[in-house]
Amino acid sequence: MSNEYISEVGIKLEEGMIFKCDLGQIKMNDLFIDEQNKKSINKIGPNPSKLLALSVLACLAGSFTFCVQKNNSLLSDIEGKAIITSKRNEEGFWRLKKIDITLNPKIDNPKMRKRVDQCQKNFEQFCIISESIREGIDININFDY
Amino acid sequence: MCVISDEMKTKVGLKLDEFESQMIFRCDLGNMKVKDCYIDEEHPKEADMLGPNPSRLLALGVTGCLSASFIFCLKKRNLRVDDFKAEAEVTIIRNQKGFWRIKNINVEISPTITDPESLKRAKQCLKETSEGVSFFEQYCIVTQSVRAGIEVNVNIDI
Repeated sequence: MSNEYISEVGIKLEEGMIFKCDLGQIKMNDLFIDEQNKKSINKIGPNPSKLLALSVLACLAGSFTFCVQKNNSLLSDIEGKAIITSKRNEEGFWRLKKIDITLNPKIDNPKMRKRVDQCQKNFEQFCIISESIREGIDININFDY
Repeated sequence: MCVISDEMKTKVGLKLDEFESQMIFRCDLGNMKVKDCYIDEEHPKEADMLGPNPSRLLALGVTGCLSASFIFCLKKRNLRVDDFKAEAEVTIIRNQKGFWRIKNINVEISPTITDPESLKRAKQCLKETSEGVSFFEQYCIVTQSVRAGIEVNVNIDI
């Protein structure tokens, strides 16, 4: 089916509120989702909000490098960070309010700067995740280069 | 993470990995005890991937959140599961402009609760609310936040 694809993931309870991810054949050591430990230093994996933020961040970074590559340019480096703000709604439940993304592509020469400037204008449309969830969560993107 | 009364901020980061490809990123999870975490947008085949792609990460976020919310709901009733697993299927389609977008995430939650009395009480967590979702789903930050843009269907096999 060329216009649709499906992927699957799974989790299994490890202990308390820690889940082990089932990523099928993907070559990755154990990934855990940790909702048990409160302090970052004690956590053995991200919590669901951080997974979502990583998903948005990686999708945008990937879409950006994809755009840059379309002109046969290659970024020598790119870093990104995401800050998630959660707030209580009127009923008192926590909800994700916004995700502030900062992307830092490394600019090696004037040609690259020009290409990066161009890609800033339209790269977001390539991102599956941010464009799918924007109706419920504000996603703000800034560039720092 | 810092908590300011009714607002909470947390952060994550990533960096392009030193592979030849420009589509594999290493996660920055601060001082968490995570050995390696990659996000792989390069390899289309699962067997070649070094880490999940963003769609799988999103599905893990939704599934992990729903699972933790269900167990939290049980804990508030002093109940516990004997075993627990959950699966999610993500369907991605092209929109009218030809861009891929997530259509829906179908989550199947399978708790094992052997004690009949506990099982009966656990079903209180499934009671439908005025918003049309199961009671425990209200506790889930991620699912309730993405639902405005993505259809999330939850089925509990209990």
